[in-house]
Amino acid sequence: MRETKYWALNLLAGLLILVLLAQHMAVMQLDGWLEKWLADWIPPLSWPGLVERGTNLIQMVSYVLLLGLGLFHGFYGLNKILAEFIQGDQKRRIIRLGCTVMGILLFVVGTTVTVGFYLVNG
Amino acid sequence: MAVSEKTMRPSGILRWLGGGRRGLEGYLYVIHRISGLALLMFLMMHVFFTGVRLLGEEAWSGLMEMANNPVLHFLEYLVYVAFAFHAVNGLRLIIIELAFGIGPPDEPVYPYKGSIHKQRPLMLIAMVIVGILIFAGGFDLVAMGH
Amino acid sequence: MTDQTVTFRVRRHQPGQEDAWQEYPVAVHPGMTVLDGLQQIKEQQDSSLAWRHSCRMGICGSCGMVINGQPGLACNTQVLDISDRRISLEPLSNFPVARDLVPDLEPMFDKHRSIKPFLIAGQQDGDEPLRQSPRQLTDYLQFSYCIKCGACMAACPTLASDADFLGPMPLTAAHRYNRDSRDDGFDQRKQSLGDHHSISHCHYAAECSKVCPKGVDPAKAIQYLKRDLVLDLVGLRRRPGPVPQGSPGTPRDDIPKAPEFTVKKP
Repeated sequence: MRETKYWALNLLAGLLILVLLAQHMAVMQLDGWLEKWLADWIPPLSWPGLVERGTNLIQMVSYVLLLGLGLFHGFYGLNKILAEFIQGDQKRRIIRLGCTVMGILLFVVGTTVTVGFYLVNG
Repeated sequence: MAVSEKTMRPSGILRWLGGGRRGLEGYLYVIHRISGLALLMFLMMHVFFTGVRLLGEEAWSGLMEMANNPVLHFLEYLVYVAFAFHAVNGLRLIIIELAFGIGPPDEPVYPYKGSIHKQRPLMLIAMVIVGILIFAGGFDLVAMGH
Repeated sequence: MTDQTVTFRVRRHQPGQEDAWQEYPVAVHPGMTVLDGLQQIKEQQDSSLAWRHSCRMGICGSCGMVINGQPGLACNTQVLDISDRRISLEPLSNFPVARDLVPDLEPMFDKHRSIKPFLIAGQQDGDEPLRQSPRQLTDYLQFSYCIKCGACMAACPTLASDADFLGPMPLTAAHRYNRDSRDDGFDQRKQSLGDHHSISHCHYAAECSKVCPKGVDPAKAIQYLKRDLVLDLVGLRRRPGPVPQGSPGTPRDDIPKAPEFTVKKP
């Protein structure tokens, strides 16, 4: 039953990522269009653009949320696919542990950077 | 689960492709998995590369200078393509996996028109949206030079 | 109408030996099924060729095999419908092979058994008849037409990479019983349904529904099963019952009485 819970959370995470990542991707990948439409547009990858987003509290929280949800969704999926190819409960447990550790590690790194940037430049 | 001594004999990853005989949804299943894995690989690199901004403006500008080449722009576009597909197809999957858009249980009458036919408009709309997003991103890359 | 020759390309398997393809020219006439072709080969060309069949009319589910790359029943696939030159025949993929075109279906039936494919009596046991409304019947009837031929299991891409995945047939059977208003076994079944190798590996490739020879639509059943499991998780699942009892009504007096039993009950 626990698996059903993770799976349902994975669907929910997918939905939330869709909203948060759509905003992120629009800013990053469709910047040519946004530049056309928005008057005070700062290029997203320039340092001022970075500071503008990175020091906005709502944007910072949404980045941390997106990172957490994205890592959960991604590593859950990776774990599922790897568990299909690798037989044996012992090996599958190791994969699950590996995915969890990697996910937490990346979350810590990403959060440190995002929150650190907010504090240093804010 | 009661596990027997005999197990299924999985026919392997090539069977994901089904010898070219899968239905459209079968291929979407494969592409969804591959695009998901690609996005995760990118996310892992992304976390480390964007971490450079913590080292200050100079380090960041240096990295951006290095990344400013057509090959990386194209690879970045591929990430966007994977995102566009995975997001829209994922939304379609969430709708279907909660049993919406596939029709109610029904008496099977030959020729069988089951859930595949019922959900096909949803699938086609999703793929059209993916197509528009991919085109918009491609236009941004090629014509607008971003 | 004259017969035409179609080459049957059969994947032969002998235990302990490499698989090999063998070709048989078969004189085919319109209306002839793949199973008829196999019978003809056995009678006239090669008596060693093995496959499994029984009813010859799409009911028993014995003759499931991969025909031109698609799992299906040999008895309800007409040769000229799929090719007028050559067809390839292989045992069902994802199953161990016993010999030639005979798959070993035991792993599938083990999985089937694990989801308790029977009515589990709950609150409504007793001598009362178990009434069911037409709406309640429709809820699971489609999924009860499964003949366990294994075509869906052979088509499933998840089973191609995960031998432990329950697969479309057992999951459909689980939903068939879960949705039966006479059943009370959801809580027992959800233990194995919530397993690592269950619903979370299905992403609606719908290959199972595409190849099902009986229109059972396993992919549909699995999505409804997922919905039930999610609703159960958030405490919103409603039991398909209770069985409508209603009043027994008054018997019509113009119905003649049933004749006496010819054999007396002991």
